Amino acid sequence: MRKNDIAFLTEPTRQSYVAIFLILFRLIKVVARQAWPFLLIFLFNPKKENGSPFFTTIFIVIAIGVAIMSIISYFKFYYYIEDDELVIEKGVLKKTKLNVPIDRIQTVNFKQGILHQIFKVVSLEIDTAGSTGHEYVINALSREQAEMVRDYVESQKQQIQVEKQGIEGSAEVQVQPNKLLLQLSPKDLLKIGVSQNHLRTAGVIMAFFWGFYGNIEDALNIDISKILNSWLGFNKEVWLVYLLMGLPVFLILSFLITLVTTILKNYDLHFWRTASGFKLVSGLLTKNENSANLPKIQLIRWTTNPLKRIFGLFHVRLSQASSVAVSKRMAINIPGAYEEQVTAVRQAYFPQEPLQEFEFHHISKLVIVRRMLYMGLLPTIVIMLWTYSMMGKAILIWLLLLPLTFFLSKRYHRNWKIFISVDGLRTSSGIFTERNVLLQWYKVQSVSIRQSIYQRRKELADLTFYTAAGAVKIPYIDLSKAQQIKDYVLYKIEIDKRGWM
Amino acid sequence: MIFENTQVQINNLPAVKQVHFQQLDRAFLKVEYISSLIFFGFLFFVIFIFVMLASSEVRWVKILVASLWLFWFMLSLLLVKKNYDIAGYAIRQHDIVHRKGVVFRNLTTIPFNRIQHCEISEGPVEKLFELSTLKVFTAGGATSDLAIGGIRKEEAQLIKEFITRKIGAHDEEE
Repeated sequence: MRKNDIAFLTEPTRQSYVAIFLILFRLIKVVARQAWPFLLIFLFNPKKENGSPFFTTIFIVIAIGVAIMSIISYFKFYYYIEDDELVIEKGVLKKTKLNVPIDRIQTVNFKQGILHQIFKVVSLEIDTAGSTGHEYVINALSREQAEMVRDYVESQKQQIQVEKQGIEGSAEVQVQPNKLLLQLSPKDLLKIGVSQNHLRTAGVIMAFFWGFYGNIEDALNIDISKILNSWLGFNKEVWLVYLLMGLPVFLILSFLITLVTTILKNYDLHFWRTASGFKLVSGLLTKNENSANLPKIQLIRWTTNPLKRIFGLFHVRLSQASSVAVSKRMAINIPGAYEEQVTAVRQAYFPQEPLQEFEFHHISKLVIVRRMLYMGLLPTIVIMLWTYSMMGKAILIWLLLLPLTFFLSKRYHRNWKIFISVDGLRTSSGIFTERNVLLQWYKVQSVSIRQSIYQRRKELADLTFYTAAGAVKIPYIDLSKAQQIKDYVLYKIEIDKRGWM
Repeated sequence: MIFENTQVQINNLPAVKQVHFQQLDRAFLKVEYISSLIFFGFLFFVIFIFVMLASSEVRWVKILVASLWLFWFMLSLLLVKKNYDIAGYAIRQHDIVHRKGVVFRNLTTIPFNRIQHCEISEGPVEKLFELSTLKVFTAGGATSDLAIGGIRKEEAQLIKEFITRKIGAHDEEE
């Protein structure tokens, strides 16, 4: 069976025919994104202009052009394996040939949109690490083909790993069955959806409409505020009533949107421990199958908030080495996992963690001063000046913000915890949310110490560790502590012969 | 390899604060001044056009914009000099260190065995003074990389070769 597989892979192969529809669909989306104002005018314009036959013709011409392009692109796309490289040939007008050496491939991920799921095909995404991180995508392969490609790449890479480790590590390469670590039931999904950050969705919706406000007005040639005034009248009290009624509706809307998007994105989530690392499968409309190779994992983050705490949930993220633009997307993201999975992940990434002694440190209390200044005093003064015309003497009420920011800043300082051990670092921070980061020293790429003018005077600094999957910053730490930790980490990087990926 | 886990005496480690920083070439100061002049000259040109075209009713706006430009220009020149005094780099046995910044002082250290590769580039103004910028790349992304401007071309070349040899030596050790 193996011989057949390899033979198939070495010959230039086309994608599944479903790719034509996918390319078509994608091109339509691109056109729609550019031409949506025209579409809106076309559909909603109250004064039907006589120019519409003209628009229709253009529309049809574009549609035909797009369809032809899709079909030709499909026929010009080939992929195959040659000399330890995955080769992709594509292009209609500009022919491109991409060579990806198999040992530069970090992960092979699958993605399925609705169309993919209907036709049982899979989009293959190949990620390579490195500063120019390209992403290679094969739009539609039958699941069988896709798995063959993935298995081949992974077996090749395992072989390379064995060769690298020489005599020592060869015993490690046993085929272990995948262990299911987490499976989200509908009840779990509900818990996760409910405990998301709804305020952020509310903010996104507001920003969305704010941005659209102007565009819609221009496109439809209307004046929204005039229309609203004619409906509601110029009565201030009426406005206020509508606002008060609208606010809860708006919040409920945000809540529902977050809930629905969370459930759709994490539908039927399965989280596995595999022989080479971890695998995450989830999603309804878009089904993602992402793998994380254990050595490539640079950092572990897990977060909780008051809502999540009620359910015992953590948002877990495994950040892999990847080009910076891609690394956020490529992180394995579990929106809701329990203590058990967090422990499993920590254990896999940093096996010595439970055996080591971690020294506990606080950050400097002076961070409270800085927060009071920039997040308390300054905004309060600005708000007071801004609302003076409306509120007059009542602006004094804004002074209540000061004790509030003081309370929050104290909490921020108290919750910022640093744990340092011989091999790694754990930080915990946040006012109401709790953000945890676990980092092993040998994963660090470079270290920087940054001081503002104020920090220089007070002998404080921000200490940042850069990894191939993001940075970890410790703010407002004593300069001498920062230097000691930094020197130690540099020493560790030098003597630890383990490859950081 | 047996993984040793002996306790490290922190006091015995080479402290970074004892590092002697190599200052950037004197000519770099001129390069920075000239770059600043070009930028502010261009800005002045743009503002000039604005002042000419705008109506005379908004006189106070014109004066405000012009004085802001002047203030920013003066501040900039001051910062250029201060930054030159502060900026420096050091090549140690195992890493390269770079210091820069006036308002925000940054000290970045990259161990040799984390360097992906080095590049030497020259801006147009730098070229006039035979200076160049040494760029050191890591896997940590743009914020983790170094760009040290104002090094004499030959020196930059030497440093680059030194680092490249170091990277090669580390690879061989593994």
